[in-house]
Amino acid sequence: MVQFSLPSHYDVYEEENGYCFDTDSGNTYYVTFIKYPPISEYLSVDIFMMNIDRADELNHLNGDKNLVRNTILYIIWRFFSLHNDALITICDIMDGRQACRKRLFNRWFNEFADGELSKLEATLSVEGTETYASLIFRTDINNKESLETEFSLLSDINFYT
Amino acid sequence: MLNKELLMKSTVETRKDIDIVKASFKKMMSDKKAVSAYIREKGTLKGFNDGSIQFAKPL
Repeated sequence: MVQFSLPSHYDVYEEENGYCFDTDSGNTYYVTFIKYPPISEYLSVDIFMMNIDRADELNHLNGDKNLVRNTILYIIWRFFSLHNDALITICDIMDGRQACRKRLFNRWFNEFADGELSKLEATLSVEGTETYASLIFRTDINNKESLETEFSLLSDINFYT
Repeated sequence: MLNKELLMKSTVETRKDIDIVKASFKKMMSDKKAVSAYIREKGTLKGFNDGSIQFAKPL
């Protein structure tokens, strides 16, 4: 069982099509999961793409106590305590800050995962812009080796272009 | 000759697989952009309706 050791987080509630939480600074974060079937031999498990969006993109205030970080990690923990599927995240390219997002998420993940979750990363080009994809799964998943091979194949064909 | 035919068949199938994968990821990126654009414009997820996107509530 994946453990969660960050007790302090915002309340997450369901909304039409997904989940959200409200921050002390008055912003609302939306977390959506979109489900995709296995993709041929390249990814043989069900995949959920997780997206994180802010209602107010100009409000970057996250407040104290790392509550936004904790809440996002709580959502990931909750997902993996209930599912043994793979989660894919692709860094948003809209504002050109995809490398920052990748670094930030890596730092969070490394502080939190504690060996129970694994993450594979790849670079992909979207409409000529480089961004980053991560595949997250439980370390004890049965087909870890094949997932690693399959994700590597995806990276080799550049996913997309 | 048989080996060559098998190789060609295998290559075609691999090409087909790659096309499927690329189409899948194009769809993912398109879905992601559509959801983000809607939230940025409306400030909410309420009312978003795209039948081709299969939202899940796995929590």
